Amino acid sequence: MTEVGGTDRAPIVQPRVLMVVAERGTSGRIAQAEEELPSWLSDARTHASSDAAPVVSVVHFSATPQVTPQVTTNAAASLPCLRTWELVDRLDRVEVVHVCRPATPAGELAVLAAKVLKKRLVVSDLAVRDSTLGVSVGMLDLADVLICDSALEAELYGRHPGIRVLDGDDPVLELHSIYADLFRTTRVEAGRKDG
Amino acid sequence: MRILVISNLFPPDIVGGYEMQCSSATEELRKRGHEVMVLTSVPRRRIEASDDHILRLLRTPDVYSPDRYGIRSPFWEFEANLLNVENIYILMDLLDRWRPDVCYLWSLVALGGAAIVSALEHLEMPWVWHLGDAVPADLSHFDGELRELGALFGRTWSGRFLACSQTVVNSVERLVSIAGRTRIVPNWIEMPVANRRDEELGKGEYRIVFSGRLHEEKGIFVLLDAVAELRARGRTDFRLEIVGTGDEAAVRSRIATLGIAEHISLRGWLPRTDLYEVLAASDLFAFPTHMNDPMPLAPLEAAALGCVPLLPRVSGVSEWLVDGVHCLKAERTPEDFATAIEWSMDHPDDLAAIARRGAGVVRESFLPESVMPIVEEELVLAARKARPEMTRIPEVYGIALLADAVLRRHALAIANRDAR
Repeated sequence: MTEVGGTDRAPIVQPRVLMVVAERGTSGRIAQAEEELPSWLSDARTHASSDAAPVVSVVHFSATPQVTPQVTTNAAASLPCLRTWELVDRLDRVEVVHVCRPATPAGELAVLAAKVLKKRLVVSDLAVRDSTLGVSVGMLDLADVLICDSALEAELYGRHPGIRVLDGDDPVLELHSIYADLFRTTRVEAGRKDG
Repeated sequence: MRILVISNLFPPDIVGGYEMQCSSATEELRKRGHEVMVLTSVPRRRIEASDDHILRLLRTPDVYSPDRYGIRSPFWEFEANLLNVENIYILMDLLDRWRPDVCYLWSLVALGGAAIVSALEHLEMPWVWHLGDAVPADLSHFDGELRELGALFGRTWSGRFLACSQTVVNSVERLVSIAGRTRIVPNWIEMPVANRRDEELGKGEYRIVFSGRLHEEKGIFVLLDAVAELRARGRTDFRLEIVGTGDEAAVRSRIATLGIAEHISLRGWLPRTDLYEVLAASDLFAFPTHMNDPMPLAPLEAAALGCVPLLPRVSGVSEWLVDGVHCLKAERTPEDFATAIEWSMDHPDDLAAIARRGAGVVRESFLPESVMPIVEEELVLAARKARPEMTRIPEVYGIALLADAVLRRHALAIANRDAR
């Protein structure tokens, strides 16, 4: 956790969020991702609504069918280029993980890594279903929150208890609020355990 | 206290001493009034009568059946080490129904052991892992291809460990960090019973015995070469009895090549009672095992019966016995072993004193009543801190299902790569 704040007030704790944008496809091609992604995704890391706003990092992740899947860079977005185990390290350093395009081989791996590390999980499928493997075994049920861009999209997910539709004027603020809620829940649980 | 024991094998389905220790620990905990359930694998042969507290339900790939290696699943390695999703289902079901206070882990090789531990972690179910071997490292080895896996396990597994020797801890630490939360407790034996015929010892032929798997790593060939060295030094007044099975053909061949057959008796496998009679009638238990051997029981059984162990300077069991006090030690070479044997032949009074002290230290430190209170204390401490979250069971099974799908895809990619 990153703690900030002055001496005359209670410390403010900022949730740390890693947004993992899974590369599409299984053939190792680097997708032209930028034009396919919603604006809130690229804005999420720069938006600072308050001192307690989440600290959001974004990485791209590719899981081509090879021995060691890789996090690769999206050249257009100049995002960091990481190896898979570096992704695990990065996941380990945040409280909330947001996987975009989970229904891809890379997305499935990212969801799995996040859950093994007991992270709060947000997913946005962005209408991509390159792989049905994870969805077929209930992968989306592992998400705490499932982000949809519209009510129509939300209907696709039936009774998932964590559906949130980004339909307000400021989707980034909504997103940050979701992260903060998850972070708070984590802290409450941790406090209950410690107490 | 309710204790769930998880072990890949359980007597009578065994391959070595690890599961025998597990069985002994189970019985000792039951004697101490604990409610103990054992979850182990489907046996390789039908077991006629089994106790109600032993559930033989877990699946294993063909890790311990050499004849079946050729027909095992292409996914056997990840099923054996990382995840067997059926085993996770069985474990979750049992945890939900029986609600143990603590899980007491033994060898998890072949059960998909990494996922078992991670599942317990996810539920915040307390666990204590008894290491009679370097199991956490074995689960994450993968021929060195996935070294980061061990580091991840070291970071995310929060339970405590009991290890039978520093040798085991060192082997584990090469891949998985467990230092600082590991307590070293020795293996133990049931006190063997046999009539020691002291009046016969020191008369006639000097009797040396070896008991163990007939395999290079247990040092049988070092010992045969030591016998040849003794012969070369002009010593002929001794006999070596070899008890055990394994690579008999290679052993016979080496005996013939060295021309030492007149000094050797090959006894094959013996029932415990017969083995104890052999040990009780012998002067020296020569055991040049390899340096990473965790802690074999045979030297303790020999010492308990007054047969002095001759051990390599470095190995798990060598950590527990003092050279010249409870045992003899030598470098693991034919020459050094021959020298130590020669010394023991020429110093019967000193050997008798070592034999008495060796038997004494076994009675003091290597019987269940010495070790089990430590085990019990660790289990109680772990259970006391526990607040398991059993509501997470569906989530754990969901993660296991996803992991199974993802790992199969990658295992297939690796298999295809190797095929090319």
